[in-house]
Amino acid sequence: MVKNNKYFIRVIAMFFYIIVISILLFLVSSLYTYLNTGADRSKMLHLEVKKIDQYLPKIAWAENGNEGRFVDDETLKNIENDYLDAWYVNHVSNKTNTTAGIEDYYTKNARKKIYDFIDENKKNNISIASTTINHNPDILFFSEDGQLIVLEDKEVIEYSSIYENDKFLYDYTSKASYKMMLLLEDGFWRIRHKIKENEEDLIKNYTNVSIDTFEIRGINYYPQKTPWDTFGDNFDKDVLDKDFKLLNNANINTIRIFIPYVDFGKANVDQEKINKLKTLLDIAETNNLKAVVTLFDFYGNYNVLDWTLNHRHAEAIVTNLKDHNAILAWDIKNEPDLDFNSRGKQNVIAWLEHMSLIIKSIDKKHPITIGWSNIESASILKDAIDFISFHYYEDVDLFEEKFNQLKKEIPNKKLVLGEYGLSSYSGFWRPFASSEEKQEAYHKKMQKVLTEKNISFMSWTLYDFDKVPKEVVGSLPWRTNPQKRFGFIDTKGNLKPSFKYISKQ
Amino acid sequence: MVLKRLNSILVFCFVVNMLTAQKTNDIKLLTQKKEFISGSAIQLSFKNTSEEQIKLIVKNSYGTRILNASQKENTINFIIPEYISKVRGNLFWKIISKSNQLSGSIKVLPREKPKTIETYLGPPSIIAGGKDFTMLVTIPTDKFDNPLKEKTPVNIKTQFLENESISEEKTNNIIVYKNIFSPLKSGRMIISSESHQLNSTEIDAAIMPDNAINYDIFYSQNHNYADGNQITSFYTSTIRDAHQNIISDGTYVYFIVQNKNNKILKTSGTTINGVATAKIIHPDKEDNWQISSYIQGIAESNKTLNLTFNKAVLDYNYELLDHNRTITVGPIKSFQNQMIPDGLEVSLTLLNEGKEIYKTLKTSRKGFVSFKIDKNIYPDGIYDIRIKSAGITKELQKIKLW
Amino acid sequence: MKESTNKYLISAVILALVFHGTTIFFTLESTYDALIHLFFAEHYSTSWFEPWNYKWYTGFTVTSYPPLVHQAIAALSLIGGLKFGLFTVALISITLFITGVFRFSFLMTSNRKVAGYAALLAVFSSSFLETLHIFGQLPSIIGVSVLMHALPEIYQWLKTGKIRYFFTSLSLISVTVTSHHVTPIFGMLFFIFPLIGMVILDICYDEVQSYKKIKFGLFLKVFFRQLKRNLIFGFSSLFLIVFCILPYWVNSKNNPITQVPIPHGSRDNFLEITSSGLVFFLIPWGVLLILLPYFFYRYYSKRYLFFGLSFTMLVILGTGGTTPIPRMILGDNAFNILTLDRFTLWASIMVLPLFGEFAYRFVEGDIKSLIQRKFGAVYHRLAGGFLVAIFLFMAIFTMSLGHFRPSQPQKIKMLPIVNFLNQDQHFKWRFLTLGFGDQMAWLSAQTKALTVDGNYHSARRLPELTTRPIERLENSKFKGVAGIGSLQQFLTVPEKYNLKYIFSNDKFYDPILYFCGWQRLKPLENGVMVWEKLNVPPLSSILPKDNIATWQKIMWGIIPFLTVIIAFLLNVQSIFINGLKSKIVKKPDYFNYKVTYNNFPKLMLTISHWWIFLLLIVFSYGGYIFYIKNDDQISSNNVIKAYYDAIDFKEFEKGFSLIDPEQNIKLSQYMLEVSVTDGLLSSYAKLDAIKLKPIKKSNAKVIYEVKTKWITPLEKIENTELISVVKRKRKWYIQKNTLDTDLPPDQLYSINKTAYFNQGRRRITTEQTYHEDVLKQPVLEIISAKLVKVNNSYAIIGEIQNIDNVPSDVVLKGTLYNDNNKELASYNAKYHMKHKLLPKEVSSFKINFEGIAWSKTKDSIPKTFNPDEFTPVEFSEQPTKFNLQAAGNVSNSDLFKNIVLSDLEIQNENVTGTLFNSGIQEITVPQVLVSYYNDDKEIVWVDHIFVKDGIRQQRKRNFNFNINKHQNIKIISSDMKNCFVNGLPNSSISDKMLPERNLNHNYYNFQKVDMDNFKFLKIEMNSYIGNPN
Repeated sequence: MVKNNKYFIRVIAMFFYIIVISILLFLVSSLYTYLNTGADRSKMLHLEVKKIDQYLPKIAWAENGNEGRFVDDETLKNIENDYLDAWYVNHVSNKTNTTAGIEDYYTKNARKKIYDFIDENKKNNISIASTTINHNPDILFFSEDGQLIVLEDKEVIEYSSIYENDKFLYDYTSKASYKMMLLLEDGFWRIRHKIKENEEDLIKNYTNVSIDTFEIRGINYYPQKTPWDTFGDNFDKDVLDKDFKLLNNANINTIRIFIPYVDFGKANVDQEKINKLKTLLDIAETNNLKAVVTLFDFYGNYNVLDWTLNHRHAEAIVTNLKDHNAILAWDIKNEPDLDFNSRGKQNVIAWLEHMSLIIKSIDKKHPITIGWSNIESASILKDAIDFISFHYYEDVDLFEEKFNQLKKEIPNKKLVLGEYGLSSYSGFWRPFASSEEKQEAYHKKMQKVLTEKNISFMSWTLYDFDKVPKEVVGSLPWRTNPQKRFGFIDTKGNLKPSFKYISKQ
Repeated sequence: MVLKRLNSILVFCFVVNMLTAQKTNDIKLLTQKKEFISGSAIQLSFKNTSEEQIKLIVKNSYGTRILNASQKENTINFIIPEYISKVRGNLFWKIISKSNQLSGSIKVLPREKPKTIETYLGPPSIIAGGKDFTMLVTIPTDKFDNPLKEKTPVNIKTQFLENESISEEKTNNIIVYKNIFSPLKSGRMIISSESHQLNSTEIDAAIMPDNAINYDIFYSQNHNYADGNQITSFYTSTIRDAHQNIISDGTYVYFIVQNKNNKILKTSGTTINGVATAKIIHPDKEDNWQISSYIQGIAESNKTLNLTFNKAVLDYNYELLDHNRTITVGPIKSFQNQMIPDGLEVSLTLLNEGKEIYKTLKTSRKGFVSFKIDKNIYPDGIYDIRIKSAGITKELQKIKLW
Repeated sequence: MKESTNKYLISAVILALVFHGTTIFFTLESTYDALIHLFFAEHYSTSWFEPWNYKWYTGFTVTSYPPLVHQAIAALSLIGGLKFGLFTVALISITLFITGVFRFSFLMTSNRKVAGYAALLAVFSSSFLETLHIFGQLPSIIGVSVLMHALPEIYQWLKTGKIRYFFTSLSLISVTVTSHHVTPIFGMLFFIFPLIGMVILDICYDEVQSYKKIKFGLFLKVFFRQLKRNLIFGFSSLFLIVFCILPYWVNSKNNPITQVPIPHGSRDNFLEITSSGLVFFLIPWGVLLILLPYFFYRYYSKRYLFFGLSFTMLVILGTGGTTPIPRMILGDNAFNILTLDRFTLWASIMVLPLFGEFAYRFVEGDIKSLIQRKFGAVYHRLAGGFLVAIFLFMAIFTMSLGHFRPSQPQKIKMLPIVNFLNQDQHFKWRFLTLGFGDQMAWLSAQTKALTVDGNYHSARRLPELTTRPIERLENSKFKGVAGIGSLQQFLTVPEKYNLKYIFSNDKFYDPILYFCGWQRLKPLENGVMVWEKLNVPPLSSILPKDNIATWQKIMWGIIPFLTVIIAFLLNVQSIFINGLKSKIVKKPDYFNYKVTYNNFPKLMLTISHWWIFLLLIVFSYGGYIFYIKNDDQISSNNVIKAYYDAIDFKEFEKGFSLIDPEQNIKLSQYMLEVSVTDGLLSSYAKLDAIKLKPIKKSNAKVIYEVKTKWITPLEKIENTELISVVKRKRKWYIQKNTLDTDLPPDQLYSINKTAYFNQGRRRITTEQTYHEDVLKQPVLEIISAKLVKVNNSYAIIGEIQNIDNVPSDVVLKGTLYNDNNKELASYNAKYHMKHKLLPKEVSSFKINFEGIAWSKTKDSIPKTFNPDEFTPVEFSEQPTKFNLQAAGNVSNSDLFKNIVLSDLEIQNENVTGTLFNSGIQEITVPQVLVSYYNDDKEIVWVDHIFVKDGIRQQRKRNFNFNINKHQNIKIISSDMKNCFVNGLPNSSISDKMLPERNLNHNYYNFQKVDMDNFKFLKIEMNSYIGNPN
């Protein structure tokens, strides 16, 4: 009896072992299968690089006909593609001193002339980040067999910033006009001759629009449920209407809103997002609120080769909304000075300057500003913008004196306090740092100074928030949690004591 | 309020001229020359009183270069490298210095005499008749590959058969172009251009004949019997265009044949020296054809030919052997009672109570065709047999196969 | 005492190096995978850290295959070239395998002599021969060998727990991971788990000094004591498997190339498909099959219990589709993804130690004494001779398999192709190879030009073993690449992939190449025909690339070689000692579980005898079936199949031998009649299926109705014939029916035709000559064009004329748009048009629209070439507008037009006609294009038929077809304003070149026919000349 139950145990053990191994085998092979299935088969097809979103300067072909054969739209589109790519490839070679792609867009003799420059610049370690802002080409001649064109490009605005041994040396903007001859070879329009007719410094004339009459009593606004994502998927008209009514009753006359660059579709702006922005402005208008629209939120590239795409983004939004009477002003970028050391101060300033020129060229009516993050950098580009706006989060007592100093420095421009506020957070991460009473006291003091010196102001945020996206202040808890409690209304929706001093008394 | 506004303007203009004033006095351009010939040595010298070490940005159509100064007492001069100074067009320069914004540009003119003349001729072949034209584009360039200056005289020479012509043109927007209209005759035209005694190579344009005009068609055949074996060939007169040029070789000409029960048959040929030939095989039964020829959409034959094909095979007989299971058809005789040439199609159909159960096609060999009806496949019984060949059908009713 | 060198091991290594070292030079290059390893190695030799490779598909990443072997070959190729690298790595893998078997057997049997025997026998083990000489899988050989080297180290670590062994075993595991990722994963399950079991049993043995007395309780106690060490080892090797080739795992999730499920022989039911059975079961097992009872007996002894269990599982899994168990265990989709031949390979390697043990005992041990006692010495020597004979037979059979049934086409000289690609910037376009098999990988390795095809999943295509034509359809016919396109799509829309050149080594594809508009250039010296397509733009200099993170690139470049270096450093010390016996070393623990071979149970002897007897019966029966099936004249249906087989393979003499002698047809007459007919069916068709139905049966004569299905490059053809078979003196013969005796009218005749020559590019210097050499694009005119809808598939139809004075190759590209001009689909005209037009010639055309073939994850490449492959494009919205781009290019080849419609009859729906060949070339495949017109003479539909047989010079050929009864043809749009010719609007051309076109010329072509939805039809002819003289 003893013997066979020993056998019995052994058989069970062996059976158990086989079961374990086959389960493991099943798991391993299904994991292997999972890893080897599910890819989208059409991704195997890698055809040529999509040309659209590389380089999009503003281009306006002159429709005054040309000598030789008629140029139909199909040919014109191909010429435009290859002509802009020729510029793009030239900029890339200036920046990286490599010859990638040059042979596709320049004929043999033209290439030699560019290669001379690349070799020399590579020797003295000079790299030039350059871009053209706009072109006004005019086809002068198109040959009968469709293989040769002569075109003239007037008023080409070029910005170039020069780096020697990777250190910024100098930057300037110039205006030039060219006369070029292109040949059709192997399906590419290639530049054969390129003659610069003339070039001179671009005199940047800023036409200022005064805003002195309007006295801003404003607030930076996000819907409570969707902070930093006003135009996301759960964009809700009624919430906006309720909030704007509340603001209007609280004697607020302006809101500051933010347009995320990537969410709006970068260079080719998504029409559906623009409609959402329009509805927000309509609701603001019905509640007689004005809006300061801040562009390029969550954008930090400033790369010179990216400029043309940003210009198209700004152009699409501004042209669509410049006649909307709820618009008070355009804020080009929120706190760009924070990017000075990571992206190069000179680079950021040049980007801002040219962006202001572009917006000014489209919307002559509304003033523009830049939301500097502190008082010290408020005076940068002061002639390019119509009113100075800066943010103030330091000690409330020093505010008045610092404001007067700035007033002395910039006498003739309106100064607006773009952001200020105090977090009422006193939780685990920052015990006893602040409280709702302290926030009330802070706002009381601020309002007193603001009303005395009748300074236009926009406080930081109506609501407390449950969560803050990590792109805003990173993900360290002791920085994100205070950021949630800047509001005048707490997360449950009831007014905090500081609400009394939300606006001018 | 007004007072305040006043002094702010005052302050403003003070600041402005302070800036410019400071600018003028310490750096001043010395070289006054504004225009240089490409390839000549160009040097920009400045008087610089401030000790600041300045650099110069130099930019022409193809790129930018940063130059360092060579100091001589207080005049500094920048030598423009040869690869920049040889490019025609505007040469833009700008001082790099903290304090001031001095910039300017000088003009580099192309050299006087051209070293190469590039000529492009398109389209390389045009249609005779004066309506079509080809366009010659010439670009005279100097030895540094710069296109010559505006209004440079260029002569365009064309030669066609006996007449040669020279016409003087001026360069405008880098190029000189001229439309050369096609003469009436077809052939080859030589075109070249010359500027300042420098001649380009010759380029030839082919003048192709114009569209064809109507033409006549003829036929040739050995005999007009419908034996299904001989070949009749059609050919056209020399097809020419409106200006008497023979149309180019290889043109596709097709012949439409409409037979007795107006079915459309088709054969085609290509022209050699204007004459297109096409072949077609005789029908195997009596027929008469209407033949017309076309170059689709362009020209057609003036009149249609009609051909009649007499019956080649008047009649044929047949023999039933080995229990009516082997049917030998023949001898099939042609028009002079000679045996019909091999390959005449003879079809045999086996019907049982009027329903076709077996249909086969064989070709004649030395005038005879024999069919075997297999005992295993078609059991004994009464069948009808139908034999068809050369348009003659023979019906055999109620044949007993055993 | 100091260890004496093991003479068996040394001689085994020498024998292996001599035997394999010489034979790989003849076999390795025609194996499946060797050339792919060369291609990957060439990639690493040029760009070590950049995994993106442009040469295959339209770019793919080499992180889709474990890198070690390829990087090793690449490193060695820097010294002596790629082939030097390949053969050196092969030699290394051979030595590793032999020494690996030795150490594994030493671990198992802890007896040096037995291990020596095992190493000696491993040299000729048929599974190793097959993996190296037929499949050429160097990575999996190196993976398995290094795993075997690792097992003793793992044993030592698990037993003694010394850290030294922990690191040596992990270093070896990481080498296996980087050389073949699947080996360690499944190796873990089937080798290392049983090893853990054995270690636990050995520890129990230490405590209780006999295996019999080991209780289950003790086993459990020791198991838990060992658990910590096992888990440490388990998790660290798991970490290594993931870490060492992390880029591979990251890539394999979203790399579609590796995910194409391909039908693979190892999943078939071996009894049904005998060829798979042979290659994936009989050859790998070879002589081990005979000793199975011994192996099971030994592996089910207590110590090897766990090895026994995993061995049984491997055997069952290795049987593939024969039993449902593997499908149950692995689960359905794993069964279709994994190839199961690896399980048989591992089973055959796991059993090598015991094979050595059996040989030792049979030659010197107790089996010898038992047999001599029982059956006498003579029987013992006979049995020994029998075993050795089978062993050597299997080895030689495996080696020579590649020679008799080659898996690759003849070795192609690649130099002429590489030179062609370097001339005149031909590398600026992509190319495609047809009929190259795996040698296309070797071509890609030698040229910098890119190809559209890839050879990644070169599923082990079986060498066609049986003689029957049905299995003989070589399934390596190029079908296309999943996700990119089928062959028809590559040929119809080549400009989408910048594909301009096709190197065809197989006449099968010529018709479809011609009818899709490709033209023959010139045959190269090595007999490969070059085909070219005009109007294909060159590749742009910047090609798209899927970039992967730089840290992955650095990992991929450094870790594999790092693992080899670490493994070498850690283990060199032990190799040095064992190999050169320089230091006396403490015996490894597994040494003291030596088994004394004394009483070999008699029962086992009888069982193995019965088992051998059983095998003999099975194989002789199998041989008989094989003979029956293949002997030609033994039965009536055999002779018919043999006849078709002979015709299919152009063995006309063999075919003649099957003809009924009584019909007294002489060979020359037969040769004249059969071999001279050229046509789609007779020279390009491959027999796909044959069904015989006897109609009349009698003892000496049988009449069959033979239904045959043929695959031709253009379409599938079904054919039924009546064949009568007669029996003469116990042999069956076929009765041949005579062929037509059409006598051409002229014996000798001449014909005048215009021939053209184009200089091509006279010289590539300045821009100017660049333009001078470019000929004007011939001017075409689109006479009419319409978008029509036929039961929810769309097509653009119309007529086009070459109105220039030079012959032109015509490419037509149609694009469909919806109302607000969004592009929905674009495609080119396939073979519903004449691609070569003489001056003033007209052709009607039809463009059907196709989507990307097999782009859904579930559909896979079909098993055999399917000529009617068509993936209709799914339209998200309804197309309402179309754009037509016609492009003309001067062409001077394939301009044969002398085909005549010499007779026509129409009875209600059936149209019969006769074609006459009036030219001096034999028309291989005549095509009739039929266009239908409604009553106001507007084109409504275009259709085509291919005539199955060729037309010899001055001969006639009948054709017939049913008038197309498409009822619901709906004309969607007929506005031609978006028709462009060479980029110019069509209307401007026609106004200038042909202002007043005479429209009713076309009407004279019309054949009146009264159907309900069309009143006229027009017939045009096109012809393919197979071999122009």
